[in-house]
Amino acid sequence: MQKGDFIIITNNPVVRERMGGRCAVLFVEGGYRDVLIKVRDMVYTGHTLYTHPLAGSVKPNDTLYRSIAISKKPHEFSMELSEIISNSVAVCDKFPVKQRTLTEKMLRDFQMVDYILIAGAMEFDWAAGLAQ
Amino acid sequence: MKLQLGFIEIRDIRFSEETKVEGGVLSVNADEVLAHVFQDEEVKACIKKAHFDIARPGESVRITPVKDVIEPRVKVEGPGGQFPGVIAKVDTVGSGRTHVLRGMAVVTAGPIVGFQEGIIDMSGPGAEYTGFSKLVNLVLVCEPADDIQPHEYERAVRVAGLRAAVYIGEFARDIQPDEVKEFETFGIKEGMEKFPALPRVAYVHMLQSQGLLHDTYVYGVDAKRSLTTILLPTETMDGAIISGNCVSACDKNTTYHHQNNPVVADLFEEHGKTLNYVCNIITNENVYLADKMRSSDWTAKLCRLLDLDGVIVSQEGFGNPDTDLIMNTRKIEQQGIKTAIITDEYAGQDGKSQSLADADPLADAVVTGGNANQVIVLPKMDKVIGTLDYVDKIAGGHAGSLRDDGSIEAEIQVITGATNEMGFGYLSAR
Repeated sequence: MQKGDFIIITNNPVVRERMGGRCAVLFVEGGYRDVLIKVRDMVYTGHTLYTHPLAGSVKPNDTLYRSIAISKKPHEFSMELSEIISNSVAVCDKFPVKQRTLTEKMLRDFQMVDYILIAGAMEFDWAAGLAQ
Repeated sequence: MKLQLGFIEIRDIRFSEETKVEGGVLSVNADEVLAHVFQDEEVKACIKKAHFDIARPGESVRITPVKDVIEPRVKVEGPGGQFPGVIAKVDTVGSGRTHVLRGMAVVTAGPIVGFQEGIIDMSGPGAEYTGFSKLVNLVLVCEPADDIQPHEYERAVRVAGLRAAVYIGEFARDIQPDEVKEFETFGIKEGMEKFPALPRVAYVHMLQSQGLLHDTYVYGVDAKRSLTTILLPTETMDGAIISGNCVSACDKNTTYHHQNNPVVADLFEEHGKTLNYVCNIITNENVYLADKMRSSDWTAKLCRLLDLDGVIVSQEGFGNPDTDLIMNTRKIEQQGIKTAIITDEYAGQDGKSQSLADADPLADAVVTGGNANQVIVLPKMDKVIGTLDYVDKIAGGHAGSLRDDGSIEAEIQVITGATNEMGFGYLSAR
């Protein structure tokens, strides 16, 4: 990865707030699956996938938030990366939607775990980001 | 390197004025153990309060939310101590003699993130899905200090559990073990000369390392910061690896799983008979794809360098680690080395969906630990150690999981160790 050649596709407001001013962030108004679809479409046009779309082992029907790093610019099309992102969409689709009400604290916890995982993967000082 | 494990069978735990091991019974002065646990500054700062409880096999008891399970042990001869680099100094373990309090565990309970912790039922149908229901459990129930970050609290509870286990393990030092077993692997050349006709087999042990709250520590080092490397099997057995993560309960490798890794145990059973158990290769499951490529390249390279004939690969977790599992397996097979993988499945509640997030034709020998989406009803228990507040939210649970009558309808994901990917469980398929 060339320095700075990445953009984070996210629907997590904490990632937008804390990382938005420091690196490129594309905010998706939508759910976990909408983020995967946005990334899939970009990877299909040659953007390089940098972080695993299912990072965190939190199931797609448990958490609402997803952040994925890809290259800012399109490079070469990669069959291997296309397969990883399309498989991830398929995995997401097999988990049934849960009917439940999440408390503010639960939402915050899910946002924080997603934020810390993407920040850690991109070597962004997440603690400093929080202290801002 | 040779390790002797001296097993002291524990049949019961009782609270008492004095902490001691006598006649298969562990007596515990809870205040004394807690005082030791809280001597740690981090524990003091992050845990508001804690107490111990006891859960025995067959009792109508539910422990939840479970964080870690730890077997108390003590090093009685040879270098090192328990959990090197975390509790003991960082000396290399895996040789000498270690005493084990077998049949019991220290279980840490209390909410960390509120959605990845698990349940251990000591009786009923849920007990049939976890080996931890067969142990006498000394449960350390913790409560977080106010305004603490989840990762700070996770670290404090992790350390608290280890400190409690080490403190209790110390009381096994002067006890005559009920059974002593010896485990030994050899240097590369020595092993080849000893067993020239036997296939050379290693264990590729994948460690959860996706980031904060998803980490594993080897001699105190965060596995995501390490390149793929070699560990002697006896080091793993002797507390070199500890769990520091909050992934789904069913396929989380607790510290107890690392101490009692069944792949290591079974390979030792066959060592010198049907195979030559060469070593363990530990590798990580990072989130960054370049890390995955680097780590799996190194795994395959080490397998080739060691002239292996066969490899067993186990993973920890779901989704992201599936990619590491397949990358490792494909690259090892491409070196001409046979692989067998151990995983679990998320195949949907009807079991009809694709089981893993990744696949490859070269990964054609697979052992499953069960389908984590399988639905189960856990009847009400007379006593809950911990709290039921999180049952609707933990992975595998849903709104209404906790019914009015106290029973729980959920996927077996909620049960600690139910689909363990080292094969430390009761489920599989033929």
